[in-house]
Amino acid sequence: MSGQTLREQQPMKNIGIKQQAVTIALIPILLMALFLESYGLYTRFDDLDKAVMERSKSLVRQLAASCEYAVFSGNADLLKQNINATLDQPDVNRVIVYDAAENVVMASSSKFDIREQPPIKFGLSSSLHDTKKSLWLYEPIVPIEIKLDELFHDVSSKSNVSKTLGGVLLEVSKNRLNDNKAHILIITLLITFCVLLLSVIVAFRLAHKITKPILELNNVIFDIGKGKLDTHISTPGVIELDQLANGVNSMAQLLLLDRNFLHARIEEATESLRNKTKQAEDASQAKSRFLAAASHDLRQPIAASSLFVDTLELTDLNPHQHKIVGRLKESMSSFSGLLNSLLDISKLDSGTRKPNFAMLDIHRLHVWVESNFQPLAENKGLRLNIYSSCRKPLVVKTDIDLIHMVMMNLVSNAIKFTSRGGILISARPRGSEVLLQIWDTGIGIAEENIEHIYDEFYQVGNPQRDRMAGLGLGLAIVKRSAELIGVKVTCQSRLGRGTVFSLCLPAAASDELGQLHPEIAIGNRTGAKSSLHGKRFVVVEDDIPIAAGLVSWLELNGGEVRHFLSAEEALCDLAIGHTDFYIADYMLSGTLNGIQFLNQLRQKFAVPIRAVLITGDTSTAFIKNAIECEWPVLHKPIDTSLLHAALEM
Amino acid sequence: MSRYWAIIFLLSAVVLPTGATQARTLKVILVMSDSTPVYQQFSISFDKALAASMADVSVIESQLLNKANADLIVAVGMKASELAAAQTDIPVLATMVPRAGYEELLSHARSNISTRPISAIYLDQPWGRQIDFLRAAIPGRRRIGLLHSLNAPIDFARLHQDVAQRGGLLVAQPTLSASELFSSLESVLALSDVLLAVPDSMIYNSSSIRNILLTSYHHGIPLIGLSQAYVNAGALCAIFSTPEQLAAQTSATVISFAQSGLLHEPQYPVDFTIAVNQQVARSLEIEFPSSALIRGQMDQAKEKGP
Repeated sequence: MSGQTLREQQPMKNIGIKQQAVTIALIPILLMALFLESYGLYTRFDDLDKAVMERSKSLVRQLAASCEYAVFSGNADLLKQNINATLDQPDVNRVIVYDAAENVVMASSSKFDIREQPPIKFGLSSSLHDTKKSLWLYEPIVPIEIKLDELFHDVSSKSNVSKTLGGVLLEVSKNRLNDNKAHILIITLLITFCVLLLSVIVAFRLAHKITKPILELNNVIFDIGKGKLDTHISTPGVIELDQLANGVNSMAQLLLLDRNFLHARIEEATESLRNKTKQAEDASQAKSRFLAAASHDLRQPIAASSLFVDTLELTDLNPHQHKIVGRLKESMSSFSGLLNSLLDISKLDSGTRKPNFAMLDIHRLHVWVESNFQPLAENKGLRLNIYSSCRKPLVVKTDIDLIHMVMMNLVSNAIKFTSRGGILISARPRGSEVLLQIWDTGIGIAEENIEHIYDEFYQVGNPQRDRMAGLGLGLAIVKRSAELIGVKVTCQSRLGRGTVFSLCLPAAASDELGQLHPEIAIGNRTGAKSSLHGKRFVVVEDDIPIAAGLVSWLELNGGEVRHFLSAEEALCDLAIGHTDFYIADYMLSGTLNGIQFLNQLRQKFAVPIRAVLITGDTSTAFIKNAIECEWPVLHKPIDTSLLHAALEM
Repeated sequence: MSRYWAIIFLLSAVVLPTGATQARTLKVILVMSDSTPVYQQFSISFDKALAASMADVSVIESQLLNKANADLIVAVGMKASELAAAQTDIPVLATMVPRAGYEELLSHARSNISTRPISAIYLDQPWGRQIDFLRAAIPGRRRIGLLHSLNAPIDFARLHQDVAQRGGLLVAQPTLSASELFSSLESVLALSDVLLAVPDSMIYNSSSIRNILLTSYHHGIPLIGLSQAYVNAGALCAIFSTPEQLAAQTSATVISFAQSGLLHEPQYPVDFTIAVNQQVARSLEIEFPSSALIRGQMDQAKEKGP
């Protein structure tokens, strides 16, 4: 039984035992009290009734006797005296005297109405009529006989001698009797109540005394139930309860031993699990470190290659060379995309990426999608349509970078897996949310594959793992990014017909509309070159090819560039302060890294530093530092368009 | 002493003429009305008196008279007398019977009377004796009150005369019913000096005697009773014959019958007793003379005649 159950049942048991004990003690007392009181009352009332009856009979007999001569002689005065003497007696209400012919000779009250007279049977015998309020007694007035020898009377024995002279009727009030009864009843009830009260108190005390050790035992058992197994019950001194207490103590000891044994087992298992978890974490960290290091190392040559290709494109090339450079650039771009995907996954997996919510007009998102993917779609002969059902601006609250990452992956996937037809990006309000959907008329996904599409490196219809078709990380990135901003991505698809991805973004409240994020016009490349023209740049990069590529690209854009291999070298330069932009690698060969270098510059000149941090490091430690720093960070291989945008911010 | 001489005289008068029948034992059946002490006392005294006389009389006490074989039935009390008169042809001597009762019995059983001898010894005292007694005992109280029912068998004319002859005045008052008893009593007491009880159970009975006594006492008038019981109840005095006295007179009559075979005429008791309630006398402030003095005066009055 659980502790909870014990606790719930405890008060019930408490009341039960006490109630039963009190009931056992009280019932005989109650019955006895009731019986004795009833008997006492009955006998007392009976005694009172009898006493009144006897007294009344005595009074009426006395009156009849005393009235004999008065009635015989018709002496009204004497009769009145006798009646008055009787009326002086307590409780006597009325006296009526009748003659032998049953006529009223005298009545104590002149108001006596013959109709009030009870149904009395006149005659030689006494009679009694008992009413609620009074007692009516009739007594014949029979002459007191004096024994005479009847020798002379044989001859006249037939003469009709009247035996009675009349009768008296006496009304005795029962008011006093009833008052006495009521008084006795009240006193009796009071005494009964007191006795019962006393009995209840005594019974409760006794019950408490009896049940106390049981309840203590119960409490101890409850404590044991809660887990306090070191509890020890002291023996209450009652044989049965002592045995019970000893039994409970033994049980508690056994339970304690068992629990300690189990604890030890659990500790062992936990320690084993902990070790295994640590091993897994170590393995995961090792994997991340390896991935970061590999990414970094791969980025360096690719970054340099990209910069050189970009630079090469700006030189005077014949059409055939332009075509080759174009193909080269595509390959570089694809390769760079693959690396970026790996980097993004690495970043999202690190758990350090925190969503940074801001207001975003869906129209701007559409513009961003259109500017970035329209050329790509057109190249494949596909239509890229943007549709919004609402004329009013649809504003959502989300992390703009993450939603860009989601849209970029979903739209690029749509274009990638669609060979004819088109792609539709729609947005429409749905309650307090905005439903964003990406429709395509592509190859579609079989129903059984839908649940796997978000897995890492899972690619539908790419068993040969064509690198041009991507790594299969896009939807994994989408899922992670969407989870970070609290959005659920759903996919509906029909094989050979097309696919639609839906995501519901929370609509911004009306009072939040003023916080719209300024647009980063990445897609606007017109006049980019002119914005860098004549600006002074400092590039701190220990990787010579990348540094050479950067310097070449900046100089071709009209910039004035100086290059340093380390932060210390750059800081020693006297003209370091006369610079419009600093482009610093994070991981430098000296003691200072890129962030430390920029911080020192800021401290040295006490002015805001315009800079871009570039890195091939995807390690968790770097990402954490990069987030804390105030300057934009670009990952290698560097997309020159992104670099351009960052420099214009 | 004169009483004994009178008895001896009477006995000799009866015995001598019937000497021829002396040899035969007289069978007498004694019938009593009931077994009250008075009759028991009579029976004992009667047996004693016969035994003392040495007469040849056998007495059987029986209530079965139908097939009785006897020479004489001695019926004690009215009930026994009525029974004996009605059921047998044997000569009957009724004793301890009031005169009025005996006379009524004779009138009812007239047919049987002619065939056999019947006589009686009365219970009540002759009026003359009573009046003489009153004169001797309370000479100052001459107006004698008498309360009676309407059909009381009293010869009032003769009684008035007897009283008047003895220098008194009879105040007789009839009472119609028990309810009028008090008023009748009041009226008779108002005119009397003494109230003389008569054997009339409508007036004088166990129930009424107390109120009569109380009323007369309230008037200061003494009641003259009929027996010892009256005296005990509160009557001033009474003149009466005891069972012993009557038994003696009856046994003398039986011996006379044994000797003569004849029964004499009904007679009043020869012997009598005077009873006085001294407490009543004191209460009424009456100085009562001794019984001997009264008897003496009564004897004198008797000798003198009315």
